[in-house]
Amino acid sequence: MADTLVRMKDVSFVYHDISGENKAVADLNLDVKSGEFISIVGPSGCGKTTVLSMLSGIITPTSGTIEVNSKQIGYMLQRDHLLDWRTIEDNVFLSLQVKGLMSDETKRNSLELLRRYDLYSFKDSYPRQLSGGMRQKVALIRTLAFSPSLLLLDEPFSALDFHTRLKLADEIYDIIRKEKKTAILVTHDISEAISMSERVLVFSKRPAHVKSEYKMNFTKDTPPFMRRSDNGFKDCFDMIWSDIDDEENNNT
Amino acid sequence: MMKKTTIHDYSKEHIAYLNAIKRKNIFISCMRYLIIIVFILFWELSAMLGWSDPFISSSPSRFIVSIANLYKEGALFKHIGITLFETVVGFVVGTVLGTLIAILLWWSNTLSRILDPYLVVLNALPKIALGPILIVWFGAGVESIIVMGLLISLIVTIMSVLAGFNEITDEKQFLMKTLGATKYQILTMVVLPASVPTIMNALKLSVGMSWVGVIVGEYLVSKSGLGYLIVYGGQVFKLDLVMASIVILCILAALMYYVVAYFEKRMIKWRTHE
Repeated sequence: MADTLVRMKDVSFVYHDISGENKAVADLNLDVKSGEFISIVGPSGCGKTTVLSMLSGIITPTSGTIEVNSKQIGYMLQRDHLLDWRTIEDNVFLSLQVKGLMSDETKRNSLELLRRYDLYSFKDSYPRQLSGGMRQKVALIRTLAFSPSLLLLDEPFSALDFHTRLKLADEIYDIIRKEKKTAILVTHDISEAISMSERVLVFSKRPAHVKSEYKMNFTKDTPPFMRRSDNGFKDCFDMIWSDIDDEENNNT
Repeated sequence: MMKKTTIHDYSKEHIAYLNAIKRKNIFISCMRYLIIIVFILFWELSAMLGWSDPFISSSPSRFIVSIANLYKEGALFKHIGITLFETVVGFVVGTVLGTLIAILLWWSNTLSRILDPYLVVLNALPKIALGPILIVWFGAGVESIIVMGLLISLIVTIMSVLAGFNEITDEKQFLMKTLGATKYQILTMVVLPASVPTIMNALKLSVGMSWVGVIVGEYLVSKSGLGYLIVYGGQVFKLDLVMASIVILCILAALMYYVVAYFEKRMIKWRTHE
């Protein structure tokens, strides 16, 4: 796997609870190249988050193999979960502390990230004093602090209001590109998926597998917001929409 | 980012609005003092004018004399000291032990589920009923009283602290897991600091509980302390002594509450931080 960063082969996952077994993922095959930005969309409750949990190693697949060629994996959630009692700086250091990576060098790098993305002046503030968009940016920097090469983004914009969401999508896209990270974005927002990624994978409903795949033809420098007014955007949206709609209505 | 604006920048309406709030606050403080002053005056007056029998209902001047007498005999601080000691020890041990047990129950869900019915029953049981057992086990002295104060606050502390721990969202713990955190790291970095406000609230509750335990304990066994003075005063019909003790008790309980509230304020600065 020369420049393949992630390879999932015939991966299945079964949840157990008292009412029975629940097959969340079945025969999933997925390759992500180093430096790629891909999105996963699909019907609600289709097991997208399960896939991210497996990639991060929190849960192990019931069958199949997962290869991730990255020492550190960053995981970004829907909510920033900044710790209210820690300053912004200490929130960013949280990931370093948990991983036992606190050193002068990693600290300096983290502060440099804050500086580069206009949050340095808030390093001694508390999360309460920041807006939702800024908080989510801090959450990203907390994730970048330990230099992961793979980022898993689990609907990181969905808790924000529409305006902030679009602006932050641009900013975060920019950060991820500049830091040369590979990213997998899970979202239920088709426009967001199209505007941010190079490939969009449409998941089937449970048990999830890749139903279809769309390649985007944007140049890497086009910010997500500009892509929304691209000519091909609407067609792409319609195709993905009908794919998901098929899945939602397909009862077999 | 947020600039502090001085009062000169405000419009007339806003200044009027701020003044109205200030006036309201002053009014509320005045009323608070007024109530206690009127109450004491009325009490004193009713005793002077013969509306009430000071032998039964005492009066401010009489219980002040009673406090002064206690002071002259050198007994005042002895009684206060003993009761305060018992309460503080019961409270501190109850808090530390309660928090430790709550951590244990948070750590092991299985243990928590096994012990749940026992906690419920112990919580419902009036701990005062255990008084005679405590006297047999720990003797008719300070030890029994401390254990009583401890018992009354312990279960409440365990339950409210544990409830605080369980309030912390799974998602926050999930975040820690994505970073590869151990359970111990989740406990010390997220669960404990996030629970400080809940724990402080629990402490405010259990301060009151400790006083109940200690006074009841003193009713049952002691030969000194404020609870003892109250019972003794009641038995020999010295209502001045009873009232004096209750007033002192009020002041001590309020002081201890404010000490806890002060710590609370200091420990959760980030909450009030603008």
